[in-house]
Amino acid sequence: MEKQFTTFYIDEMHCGIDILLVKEINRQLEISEVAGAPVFIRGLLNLRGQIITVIDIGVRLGFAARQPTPRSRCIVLKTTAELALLPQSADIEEDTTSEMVGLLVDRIGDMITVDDREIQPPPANFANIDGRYLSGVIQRETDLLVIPKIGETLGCEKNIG
Amino acid sequence: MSAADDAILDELIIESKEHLENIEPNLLALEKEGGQVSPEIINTIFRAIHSIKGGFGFYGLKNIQGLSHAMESVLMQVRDGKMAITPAMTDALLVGVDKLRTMLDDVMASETCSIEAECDRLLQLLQGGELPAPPVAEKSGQPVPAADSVDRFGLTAEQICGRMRNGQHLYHLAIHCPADLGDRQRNGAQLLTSLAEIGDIIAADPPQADIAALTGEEEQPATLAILYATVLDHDFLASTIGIAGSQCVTATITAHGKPAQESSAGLPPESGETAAALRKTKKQEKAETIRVKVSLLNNLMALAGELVLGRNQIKQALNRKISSALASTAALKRFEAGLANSRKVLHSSIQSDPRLKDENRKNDRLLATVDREFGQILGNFRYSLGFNLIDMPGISGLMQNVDLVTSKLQNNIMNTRMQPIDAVFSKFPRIIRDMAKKLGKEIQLTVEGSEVELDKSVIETLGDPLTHLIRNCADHGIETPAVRMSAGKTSFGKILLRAHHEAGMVNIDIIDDGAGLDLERIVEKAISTGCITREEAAMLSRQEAMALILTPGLSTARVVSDVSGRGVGMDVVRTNIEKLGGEVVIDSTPGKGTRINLKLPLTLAIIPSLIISAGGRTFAVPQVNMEELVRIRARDIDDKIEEIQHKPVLRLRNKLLPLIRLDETLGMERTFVDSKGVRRPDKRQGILDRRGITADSGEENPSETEKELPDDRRQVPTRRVRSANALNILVLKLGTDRYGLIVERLFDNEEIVVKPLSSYFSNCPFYCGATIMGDGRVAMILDAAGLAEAAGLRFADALKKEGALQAERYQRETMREAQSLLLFRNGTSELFAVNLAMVARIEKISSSAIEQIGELEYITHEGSSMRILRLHHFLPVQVPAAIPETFYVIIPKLVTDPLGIVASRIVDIIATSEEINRKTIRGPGIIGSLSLAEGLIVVLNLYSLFEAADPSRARAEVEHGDLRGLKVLLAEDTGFFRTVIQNYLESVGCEVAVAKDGMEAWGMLGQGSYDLLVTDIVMPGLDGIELTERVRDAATFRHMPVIALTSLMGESDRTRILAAGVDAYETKLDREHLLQTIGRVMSARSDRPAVPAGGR
Repeated sequence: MEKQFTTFYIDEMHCGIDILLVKEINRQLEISEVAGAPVFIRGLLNLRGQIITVIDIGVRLGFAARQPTPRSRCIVLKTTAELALLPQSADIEEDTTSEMVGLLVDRIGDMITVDDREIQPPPANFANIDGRYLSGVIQRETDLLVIPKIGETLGCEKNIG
Repeated sequence: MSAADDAILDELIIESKEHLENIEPNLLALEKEGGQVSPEIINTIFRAIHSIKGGFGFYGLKNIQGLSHAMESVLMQVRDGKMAITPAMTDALLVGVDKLRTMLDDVMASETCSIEAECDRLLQLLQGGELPAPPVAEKSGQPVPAADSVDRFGLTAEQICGRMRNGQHLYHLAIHCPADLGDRQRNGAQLLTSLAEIGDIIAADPPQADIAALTGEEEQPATLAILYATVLDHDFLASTIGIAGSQCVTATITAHGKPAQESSAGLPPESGETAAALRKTKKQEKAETIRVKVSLLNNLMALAGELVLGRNQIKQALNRKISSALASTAALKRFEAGLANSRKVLHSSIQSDPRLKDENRKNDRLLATVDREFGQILGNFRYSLGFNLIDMPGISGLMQNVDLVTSKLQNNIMNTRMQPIDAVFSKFPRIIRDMAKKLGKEIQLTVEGSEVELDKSVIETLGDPLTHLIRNCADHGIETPAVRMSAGKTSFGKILLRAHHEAGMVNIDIIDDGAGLDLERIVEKAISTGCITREEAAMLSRQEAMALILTPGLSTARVVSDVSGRGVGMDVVRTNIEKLGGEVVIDSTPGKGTRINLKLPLTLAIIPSLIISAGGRTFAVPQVNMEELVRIRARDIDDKIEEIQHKPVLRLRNKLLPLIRLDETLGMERTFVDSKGVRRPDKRQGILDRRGITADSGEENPSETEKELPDDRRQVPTRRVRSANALNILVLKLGTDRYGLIVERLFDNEEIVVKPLSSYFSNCPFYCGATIMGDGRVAMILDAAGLAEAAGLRFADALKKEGALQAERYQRETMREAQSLLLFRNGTSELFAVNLAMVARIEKISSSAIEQIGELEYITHEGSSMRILRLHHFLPVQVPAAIPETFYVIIPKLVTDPLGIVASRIVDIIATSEEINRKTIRGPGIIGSLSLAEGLIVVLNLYSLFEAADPSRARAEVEHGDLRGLKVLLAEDTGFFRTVIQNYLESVGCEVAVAKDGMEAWGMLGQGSYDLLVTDIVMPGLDGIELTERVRDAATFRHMPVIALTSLMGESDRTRILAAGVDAYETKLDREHLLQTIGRVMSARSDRPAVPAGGR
């Protein structure tokens, strides 16, 4: 079955997430940092009157904290409730959270359509990323597309530290 | 069951719950009314139960239907006057209501639970009723008129309804001839007359005219069919007209518009559309409401918040635009003027140029060219400015309009979340009734202000704490009737539950006239459970002692009942109320009652907050947590801030306030903004650290800016001296505890919209929410309790337990506090002072409130009259020029029959440890003078002042006997008290020797001979207790009487003091009691001189 991915870059790593999880991509990055918050929390963002928590997915995957640039974007994800309302909700393998969350990324890449059979399990200890945060990789002609496990990277209940 | 059915069922459950809410107060009202049952109330209850029965019957939920049916049967008897309301009945019905409520909470499980007990109770009522309940259903077996018989009247529903009056039932009567006419000695006309007397004939077959013509003996027509409307109930009607019950059938109107009939045992008339039609009038009386999902309201609120934000941004942009347009216009004007000037110069130079003198035409052409060129330049300039000059006519008016509408919109949306507090209050009459019964008490609950509105979320959280307080009131507060009677009170206790608005908060009072709080027992309990130590207990004020009942694990109920008294609860009350941003204040008078006051914010969604910053980030601090703001100038830091075990504390009005830094507590890097506006890391260890930033420059690679630092160093030796280094301290309160939060900058007060915090921040106790600021950025809302926790503040420990040094310091502090002076003026420049401990209150009075009787002036204070005195009448002081319209009256305490003292102005409350100078200013009514920064202050002796004002008082002194010549040694370390007490003692002729502490007194005892030792308890070095112990151990003066003085009103240290062997103890400033006690002790001693009282 074909799947569409929104792709983005963390440093030079090309990552993708199921497009169905994405609510919008935002370039307004006036993120208020929160002292005392876990390191992977970048801060809070005012999205048209709603406060969303911005997560530095890079930190979760073992990179250094993002430095905001003009190309930085915030990928706002759908909440679990919003996902449940989708007609394709049964096909979505990933999970998000019940609150509004955004991912801070360095830049946005192309939208990519792949057959889900092309997704391979991640190689052991791939790029020093904790295996539980990876769902798989897709070998492409030019590069490797990394598919993070969004539910795990967001998992706020278990992984606060 | 389909989704649609589910939705309808949900609706039905909600509706039924609302019905139940209504039934309860109505039942209680019925019970109160007793004999005179209001049909209105009965009908309301009846209808409510009935619609529950009908609704759930439709869904086949037999338990709910069955129970409501049983309740309905009982109610029917009452409605029809066949049974009187009894408490047993109300009980049974209330139990039924409870059961229904439980079943409604989980409708699906309702079929599995048993309703037998409840139904039995109701059935018993029915069977034991005064009139045996006529089982209407039995009659259904008897002949009934044919179902279609109603049809023969050929009337539509509208026609029938039109002929019926409100409250009437519709019956179909079948009158048999001659059995019901001739056999009963009446004719057709008589029947019609009797029917018309008690109701309305809607239709008849044969027509009424024919019936009227009947003699009653005819065989034909065999049956008269009459459609009849009356308020009478079925059985009563049948017996009134004198026909069998079966001949009288309740009819309803079918949806087709034709009256249908049903068995009298079936559903009563009001169902389906008929009910709707008949109750139409009722429904219209209610305010029109619709149900809206809370989530929708929340969305609206979020959108309104966004709109406000947008408006603010537009406003800012518009203001910028307007000011730049104004600047452009001004620039254009200047340019025009300059151009005109240049043109003039050019013109005159052209005209005066000798070379062009003769050539007039050339001259004119040149001038024309200049004008044209200039005109073009101006035109171009105007054009280029044009975009900036575009005037938008009326734009500011429009903006104002949008502004107003937006604010109104936000307010209105906010109001949609408001609910009357009745939602909580309404359940209390029932609770009180049940408790009163269970506890054998008589309690009268009065509810006021149930219309006061609060935010939905506040109301939801308020339920539990309020219930707890009310139950406590009924359980612990109100005494049993016997106890009350013996205390001279009414047998029934009163509880007043009252809500009202005050200063933007909602106040809820729970006032009872019960036993009041037993402070001593509370304190004892607190000590025995280890909440506080005995030393701490001695320091407690009345208010603090009462607040102890809010601490966890403290219950003073003698008997742990199933109602309350398990020692959980009051702390939960406090936690819940404080969580809402409110506060709990308890005030109680033993024997008179207790008043608990809750202050709550109107809404949780918008809270007034102070915006502050630290480490360059913005935060909001809710106003409810805020006590005051303190700014300490850089040069005062050394004086005002001390360190106890490396923790900074601020000396604020002689109390020690622990300080924490916001940036440090939040784990932010400590920074400061240097003189050039650059933020740099702060390397100092503590607030008191003198090190300037320059000291660090060697350790780091000096950067551009840091190279310049040595200059700073020369100019500013320690950077704390600069004004930017002043400390901004927010004094935050947590119940009775206070602490200071050091922040970087203070901004405005703002009303902020609280947004809940994401669960990602669950490990950040210092935040209680987030908000969006006017500039669109997100700011965190600080949580006062969380911050204290994160900073590791332990209030009790910080000041009281950590070592003797702090303990002593603390004692000194509390003693100092006790000698606070109230400064006031009497319409002149002179300053007067009375000890604050002797002031009960200060009243503002207008001169019209004074009543003059003879030469004396009186005011009304707390319901009785009080004499007031003006200082210049009794003291050698200046006479004020004019009497102001309003003035203050200082009402003293610790004095029997106090007189009010007139003051023109209350100046200040100061704390001082200065000794009172007794030499410079002397006289009756004056202790002495103090020379302070405020000026020369005359300190008043209220006792002798009152004696001067009321000579009859002096005679009262006879009570304490003759103390003249008594040699007294007074040990007191606080100068103020020393002077005052010495003054008291000398006023009755004692010879007083003073010692400044225990050691000195001990030394003096060895040297001189004294009749009496009067000693303070808390003194540095040798304290009063140790001194007494030494006296009792000494061979020579072990029998010397000792009177201990405490500055505390509480008497919890009594046992320790008495154990040391003192003869008596007294409150420091209470002159009368002190002298009486001395008199008593001395006369007891003179009777039995050899026996030491107390002893060890």
